[in-house]
Amino acid sequence: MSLEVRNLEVVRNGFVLKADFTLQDNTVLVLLGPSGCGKTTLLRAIAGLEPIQQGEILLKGKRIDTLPPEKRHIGFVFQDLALFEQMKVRDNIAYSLQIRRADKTFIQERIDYLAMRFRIDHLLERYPSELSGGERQRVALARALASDPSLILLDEPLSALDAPLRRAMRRFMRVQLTQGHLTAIHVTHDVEEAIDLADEIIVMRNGNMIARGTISALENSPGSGWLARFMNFGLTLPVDTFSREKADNFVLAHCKAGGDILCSVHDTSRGAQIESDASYCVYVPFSSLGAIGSKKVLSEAAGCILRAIIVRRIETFSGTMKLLLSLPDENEQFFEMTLPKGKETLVPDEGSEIELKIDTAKCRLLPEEPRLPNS
Amino acid sequence: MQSGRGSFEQGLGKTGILLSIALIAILSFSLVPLVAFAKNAIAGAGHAASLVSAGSISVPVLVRSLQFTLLQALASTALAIGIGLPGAWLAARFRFPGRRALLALAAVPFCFPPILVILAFILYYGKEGYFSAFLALILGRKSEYRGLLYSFWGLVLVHAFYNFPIAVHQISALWMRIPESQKEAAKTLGAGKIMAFRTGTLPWLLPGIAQAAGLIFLYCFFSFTTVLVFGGRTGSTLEVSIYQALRYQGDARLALLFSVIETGFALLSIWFITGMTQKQQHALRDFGRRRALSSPKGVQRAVLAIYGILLLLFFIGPLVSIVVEAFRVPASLGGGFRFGLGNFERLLRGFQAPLLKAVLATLTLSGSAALLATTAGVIAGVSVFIGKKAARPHFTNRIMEALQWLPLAVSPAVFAYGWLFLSPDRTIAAAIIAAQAVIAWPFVSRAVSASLQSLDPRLREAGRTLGAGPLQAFLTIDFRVIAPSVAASAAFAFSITAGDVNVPLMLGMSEIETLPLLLFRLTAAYRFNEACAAGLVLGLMTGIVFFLKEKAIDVA
Repeated sequence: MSLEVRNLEVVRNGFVLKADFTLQDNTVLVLLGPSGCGKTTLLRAIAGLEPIQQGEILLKGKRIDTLPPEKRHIGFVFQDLALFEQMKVRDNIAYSLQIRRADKTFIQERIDYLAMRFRIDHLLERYPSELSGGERQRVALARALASDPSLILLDEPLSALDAPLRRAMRRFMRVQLTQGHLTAIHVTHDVEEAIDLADEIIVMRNGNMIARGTISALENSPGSGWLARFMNFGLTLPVDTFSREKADNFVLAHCKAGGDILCSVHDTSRGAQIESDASYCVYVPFSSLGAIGSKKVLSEAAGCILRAIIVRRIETFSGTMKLLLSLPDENEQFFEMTLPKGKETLVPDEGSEIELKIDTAKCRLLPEEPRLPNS
Repeated sequence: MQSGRGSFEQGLGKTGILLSIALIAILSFSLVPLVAFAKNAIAGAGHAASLVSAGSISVPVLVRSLQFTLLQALASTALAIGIGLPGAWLAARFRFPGRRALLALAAVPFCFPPILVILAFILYYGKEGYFSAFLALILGRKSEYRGLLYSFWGLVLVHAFYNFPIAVHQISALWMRIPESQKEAAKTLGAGKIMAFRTGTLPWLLPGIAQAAGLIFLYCFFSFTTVLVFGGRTGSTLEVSIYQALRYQGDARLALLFSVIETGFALLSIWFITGMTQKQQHALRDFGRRRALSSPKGVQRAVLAIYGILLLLFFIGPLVSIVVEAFRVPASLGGGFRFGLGNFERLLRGFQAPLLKAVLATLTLSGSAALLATTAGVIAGVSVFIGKKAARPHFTNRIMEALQWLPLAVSPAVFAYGWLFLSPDRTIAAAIIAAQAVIAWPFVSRAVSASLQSLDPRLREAGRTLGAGPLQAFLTIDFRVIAPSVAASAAFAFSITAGDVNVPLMLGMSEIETLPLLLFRLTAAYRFNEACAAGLVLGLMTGIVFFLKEKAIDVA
């Protein structure tokens, strides 16, 4: 086990953060959540930059929460990168080694190795102000890794980059983390970034960890309508009424948008429990929307049918067509579907209604709001 | 289709003419008195070369004066920064009662004339002062303390206490903007507290410290009244030497030589300050918004309490003593005191009733000077702004920007006498008004151009796209931004001129008595209680105007 965070509690200006998790060696964990949910505070608490009120933090089996930041030996890449502008790139990278009074030859070798690995060998004599956004990112990462820390913490380091550079950088970062066999925690509010980088994801909301797992596990069982929408896993249809079926794990839910849907209640986080005071929705993952066609084509097909309105027909670069759809009774739920090749002609014009077939075996009855770990 | 920028550039031909006219106006206003002074001095000497060879000029005197000026300015700056740094740290980091008041002390050097602070120090630190009595109470004797105030270190102490709020204000404003992330990055990379501060904070803080130090050095370098009162026995600054040469020796050549040396050193300081300001602004551009303040804990609370007590004891104490002494009326016979309005009454009804005359003279002269300074400052500020907006920097702009520093680099005495030589029939009042306006206009100009530059150009562009013509856009958008800053800087100009003792002392002590002059005369005559009453009136006058200025800025 690389990192253990036990019953951690951080209180700051009335905001309470609670965390409890472990992290295996050579794993990239992504802390994902909306702004202000406590991701950065958690990262800072692990690094020792934020005082904790309760709990323990262990790194490689050794308790570190009582140590000052400089003694924890954790690499931290800040959101604004925090490069030392008065120092050349070379000195930025060498900083942690010089502080630890490492041998000069070793420092030189380490700089050369990292410069080559991060493709910044031509930038070593420059100052940070003379670098581009992507170059600054690479220097910040090289600096954090210079002293070979046991854990790397990345606090939304890509947030200032434009979309194409951001995509390229996160792939570069992932390769570096994998090849270097590094244990890392990456903070982001960007779902796409989380999917690209993570071995595992922890989703946070209002200071609490509300879900944890691989991306496929979370997609299969998001635990709440809020999470399914936040991660853009599928549709969440508000439920008017539902009735228990003979098999305990199933209910027949009535939704305005989709009619009666027979779906599973089972959820990895709650089992088959239904709370009387919670409001529920039917989670329809996009992967369950298997077939598409005009009303006439699908009306003869078996299974549950969902009606949708075509908002836009979008032609993609590959020549296939994507549809932007909305539900008639849920005007604010927009979603996209890519049409199988050859089906384009079957789809009516923008503004028309079409029917989608749902594979109800993948649907879940979920509470709207996530359940807190201690509730 | 012609872009907005294109049309602006095309219009620069006309703009260039306007800028040139503005420059000529400001040049005449600022440089002509200098030329008049130099001409008179050289004419007196016969030709320029004889300035140095003239028998009345002694090189050792020059060297001594320069040495003393530099030494006292350096020592005062070091002490002011030393006192100001902890305050800057506290104000930048923590939320505490009195934080705003601590920052507001920066107004003291501007709205409290030096003569008033000198009086406060005499009353507090003097032989019979409150601090002396306090020490006597603790130590049981007074003798050890008696000599300090009228010595080199007394002078340094007054300068440091007068100027340290500038350090608190300037440095804390920068410190608040320095992000913690660099310091934290250093910590995560293994640096201890001191090393992390040296790596992540100090490099950004140094230009701010250096800039504040440069500014304080400049103020102390030009120190006049304080040196005149306290430094007499230990030495004389260049500024006092100029005064003595003009006032007592009638030697304009000697004064010119002193002022040339003084200006040379001042220009060096200004070059240093502008360099540091640019560095600081460059750093500030990279930083985000100001850091949130936290509540002090443990040792921090103790530091805060100690700093607060020391400030109250050494700085606020002298200021409070003015208020107390203003109402403490000495009994006519047999000693003893009572509290009342007797000092004010004596100034209002006594022999020649000087207070009312002095108030009127101050209001008239400073009001006129402030008006003139505001007019010149607005012209210069707007033209600097327009010049900066041009695609190619206009030559007039560089000269105008340099001119803004001129009053900080030239002795007020030179301006005063220059205008005296120029004014018809050597009218002292006109010369005082013009000289004080020359000293004050750059403050107005800098405030106006800064407020225009702070306006997001997109607002003006939005106004234009919504149908406003250039004039309408200026009146509805730009003018609303600069109007409060013009009002505020006019008030500031009034505060500076009303508190100025240099120019009236140079020119008008026998003919015109302003409030600072009255204060000076009463202090010199050891009529401290009446001096305090007059000082309180002056302090209230400049304080109210300064308060209104701050309100205008808040409203803006």
